[in-house]
Amino acid sequence: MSDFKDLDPILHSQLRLAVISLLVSVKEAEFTFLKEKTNATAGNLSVQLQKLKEVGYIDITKQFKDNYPQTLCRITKTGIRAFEDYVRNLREYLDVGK
Amino acid sequence: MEKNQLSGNESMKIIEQMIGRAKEEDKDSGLGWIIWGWMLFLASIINYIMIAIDAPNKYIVWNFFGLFALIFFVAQFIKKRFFNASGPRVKTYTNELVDRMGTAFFISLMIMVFGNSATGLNSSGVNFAYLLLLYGFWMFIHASAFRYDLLKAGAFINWAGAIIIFIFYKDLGKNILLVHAACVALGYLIPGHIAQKRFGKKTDGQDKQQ
Repeated sequence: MSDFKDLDPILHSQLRLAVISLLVSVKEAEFTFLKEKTNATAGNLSVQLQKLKEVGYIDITKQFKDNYPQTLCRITKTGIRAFEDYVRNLREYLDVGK
Repeated sequence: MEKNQLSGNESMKIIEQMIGRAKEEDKDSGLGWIIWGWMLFLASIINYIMIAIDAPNKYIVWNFFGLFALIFFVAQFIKKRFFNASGPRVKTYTNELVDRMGTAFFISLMIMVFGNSATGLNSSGVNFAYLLLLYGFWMFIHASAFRYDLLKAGAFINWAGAIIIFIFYKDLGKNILLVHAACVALGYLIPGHIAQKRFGKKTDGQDKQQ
């Protein structure tokens, strides 16, 4: 039986998978949006976003909006490919498990 | 969300849940429909009154309408483009596509309004049928993108209004403007106000969560 070894370890984490699933569905999202939708703490979310950025799955832009700092996140092409591979491998894993 | 060891089913559930939550953002505030709807509705009624009292420059209200709409559109564009104005916390592909289609609709409409005025087609009343066709086209796409059936019904009302004007334009006379106003009220204003109410409730809920 197949195991989790084919699943991308970066994405095989609850919060990182949630973030990528959100970002794959939208063009770009603010940090506050991701925090609200994932119910994560700001600290944990920042750490996980940084990890996703380091592997090139997302781009993070920091700017000012109405004099407040704003963090915008956007999935990259590498991120989309990684997500698609993850879903494909996950499906295979679930099919084998049936 | 701190857990790292996920089963396959849990992973799938997270993916479905998050994609579902992102889709919830594809909602229309209805404000654009309300502003636009009232502008059109008032312009129609003023035009009707000006014809009824046989005022000079009966159709001038449409020139003002076009000018005001143009100023509003350019101001919005400058605000968004150069002043980084506050927008939604998330930008979806649907929002982007609908924005671009809105620009195309607006450009087409402006050309029609100024063209009708320049050629004198205004006085025949048939031009309102073309306008209703254009509104219906835009409403139908917008309603489909945001899965808003009431607005889709508005599109059919506008198309029906256009057909009525095409068939009865000679008998309707100045009442064409009332048909136009009624279609605008039913097609833009009612769905717009309902959408705004729903959107208000939704954002209230989000504020309370934070």
